Amino acid sequence: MSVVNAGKRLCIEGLTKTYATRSGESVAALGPISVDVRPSEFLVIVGPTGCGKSTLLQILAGFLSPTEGRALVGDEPIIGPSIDRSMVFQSYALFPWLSVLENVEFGLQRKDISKSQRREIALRHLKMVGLQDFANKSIDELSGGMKQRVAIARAFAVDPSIMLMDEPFGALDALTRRLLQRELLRIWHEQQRTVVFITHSVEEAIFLADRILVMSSRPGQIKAEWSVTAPRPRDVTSEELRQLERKIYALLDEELMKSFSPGSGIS
Amino acid sequence: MSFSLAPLRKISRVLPFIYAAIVIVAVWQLVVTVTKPEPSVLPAPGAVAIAFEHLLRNGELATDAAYSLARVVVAWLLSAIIAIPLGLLMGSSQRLERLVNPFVELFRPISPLAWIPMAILWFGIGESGKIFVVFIGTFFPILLSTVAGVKEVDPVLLHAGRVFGCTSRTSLFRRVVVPAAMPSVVVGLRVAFGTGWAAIIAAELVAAHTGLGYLIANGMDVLRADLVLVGMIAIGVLGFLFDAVFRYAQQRYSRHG
Amino acid sequence: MNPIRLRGWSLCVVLLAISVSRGALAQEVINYGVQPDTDPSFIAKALGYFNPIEKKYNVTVTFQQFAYGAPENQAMAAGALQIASAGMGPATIAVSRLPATLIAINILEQTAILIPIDSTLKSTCDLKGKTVAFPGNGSQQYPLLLKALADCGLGVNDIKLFKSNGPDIPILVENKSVDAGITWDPSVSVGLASGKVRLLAKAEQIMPIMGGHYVGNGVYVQNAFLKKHPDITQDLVTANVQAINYILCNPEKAAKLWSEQIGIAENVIALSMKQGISVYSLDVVPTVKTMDAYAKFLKDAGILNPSDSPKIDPSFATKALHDVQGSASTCEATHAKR
Repeated sequence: MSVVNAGKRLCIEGLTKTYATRSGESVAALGPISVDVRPSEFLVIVGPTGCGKSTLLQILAGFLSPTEGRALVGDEPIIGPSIDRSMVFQSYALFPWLSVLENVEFGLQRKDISKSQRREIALRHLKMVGLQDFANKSIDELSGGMKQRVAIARAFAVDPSIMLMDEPFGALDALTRRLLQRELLRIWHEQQRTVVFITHSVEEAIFLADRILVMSSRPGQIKAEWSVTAPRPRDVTSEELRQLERKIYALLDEELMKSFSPGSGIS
Repeated sequence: MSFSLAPLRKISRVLPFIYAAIVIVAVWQLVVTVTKPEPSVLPAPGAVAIAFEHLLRNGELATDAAYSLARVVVAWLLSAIIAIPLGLLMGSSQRLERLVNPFVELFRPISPLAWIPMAILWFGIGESGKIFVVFIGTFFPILLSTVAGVKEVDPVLLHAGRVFGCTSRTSLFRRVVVPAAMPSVVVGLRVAFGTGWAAIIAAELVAAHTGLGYLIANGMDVLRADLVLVGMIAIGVLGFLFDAVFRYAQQRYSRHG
Repeated sequence: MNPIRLRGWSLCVVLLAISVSRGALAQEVINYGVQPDTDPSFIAKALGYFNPIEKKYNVTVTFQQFAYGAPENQAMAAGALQIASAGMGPATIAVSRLPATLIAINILEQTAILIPIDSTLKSTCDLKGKTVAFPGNGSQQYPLLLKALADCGLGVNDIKLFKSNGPDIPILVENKSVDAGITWDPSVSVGLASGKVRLLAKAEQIMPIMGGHYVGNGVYVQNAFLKKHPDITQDLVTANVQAINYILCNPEKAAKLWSEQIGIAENVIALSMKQGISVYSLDVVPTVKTMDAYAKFLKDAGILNPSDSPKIDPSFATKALHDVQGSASTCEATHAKR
């Protein structure tokens, strides 16, 4: 029996990321960013393309090191990838040589978990996303939506404190996206993990988030922040949420204009 | 009604080839009937069929085919044993690749056929010379497709591997890189077998006393064009069958995986 | 010379060249297949014995060189050769399976079994279980080898055969890659001249099929050519016999001419003639009796099919012998009389 680990606190302190270009110049891609993510909070980040939100997620995942600043999970600084910071990718990133069940089991290959325990945990999480009947199928027999559900099951099966999600529903059609948003919320309610979710879609942000951060264009910084307290499931067409949507779009348009206006300096 | 469609489906897959074979034989017979060539230049399909049956019955065809096949299999296995690990390492380590690549690029363009005279000089009699020639033909396709397989692993799979427990480079290599590269490796193995099959025929044309290439060379020496054609047909049919087996294995492998 | 004049002269030269070559093309070309061995055909060519033929019939005799008999036969099968000179193995196969006819046997013996100089083998019977290099089933040497084995009660399965090129065989014997090798002259003599190989057996010791000799090299002609030009065919055979007469009368000069034509060292050719590796006789007649015996042997050895029937025409060689003996003083070598 695995111990249910509730979500942890995520502290982002003064994170910046600077790249050196081929010609030797340095380009500031991100930051400085400071955010305090509460335990079990569902945080959504929206921003224009190229603002560095994916870079931020990569730093939180541990694939990149920040140029300045640091991030902490609970009290521990992030130095590399860890199973405690699970991830769901836009392109699913499932392993095609493994069956559905084996994919969910992948992160559970640890000395302290026996084979039968692994199986049981994996099946339980497949059940959670409603795909228990597909356990022995191969990945290419699944639709995009089903693949992402397997990816979500895989990400939750390892009992992480933080869930990082990089535009996970971006490749799916609108109807599937609605379905998966609801499923994600249901699982999140059950499991109470801290979620950092990145998206383009303002509507998606409003539907899912406890808190929305709007990022500016490069170098990405936090331009604005809103808490969304409306109870879920939310009606995004309600006047209150529509207003919020308009405000967020206004900010995003402002940022987008910057990258289109002449002399903006963005190549 | 317990009427199974499966056998019909299998037959329908073979049908295009049967149709092509019939057309070839018909045109061939037509050419022979109309132009009346010397039997030692172009024998009629009937004469070739008789020679085929004769060689089958006295076991010569089976023996020759077995020799050719054995040589290819040995060289191909040897190539795989060396090229796959080397390719996996080269694909993962830029330094190793930079070290080994110049040699690969210099030797690769030299067709195995060009190695035949040297092989005879160095290895002389016996099987090693022929196996060497086939090895040259099978080594590079396997190496190159293994390296490509590793390099073309979707980087997001590597990310996923690192997130989901592959904390060391070796575990990432073992659990993600190698399985992800496998389909490319299998393609390389299949291609290599084909080039190996072509190479052994060439090697046997020059220096052998057994094998399908030898059957053809011998036929040429004694002006028995019917033997030559039997050899060619056997080579074609066997090559086709092997490739079909590989294709089937490829499909099953990727579906299972 | 100013540029315009130069251009004018160049044009004249080009036009001249074209008309000359056109003129040459108007002649019929006789493609004569040969191999780089001590063939009387080379002597005939070097001494100009073909010139009268070319003038008389307005033809050009062009030599086409081949490394060994099989490609030569393939060229004839494709119609690229009108006349060919090759070992009797390929020659017999050609006149059995192509529309061609054997008209002369112009070199005798020409084959031997070689062993390393320090080999312990004493006779061909000692070949049992040994590795023997040979030039392939379609060669002159293969039936000879089979006969040598058969005389010892051995079969081809009692030895290990290794197929190689004729010229490579002495090298294989020399570096002991094989225990023995059977090949044709001048490769035999090249091997002997190195001092590292010696003879185990000579062709005429194994199969003295024609009056104490072994049939070495034959000349055969395309039937279509034979039908169209029996006169040219006759003259070509006669030229060959005249060349053989010269060889018998002037062996050293012949060796020098061959050396220039085929690139083998003079002393090697001299050795060949002295040791009787290649032997010549004015009598180049392919007798029916000889050919029947030889064909039967090839059939028993599985080289010819039972239905194969070699075509021979002894008439040309018979007339050539008669003409040459009648017209010039001849030097028939004593050991070559049949």
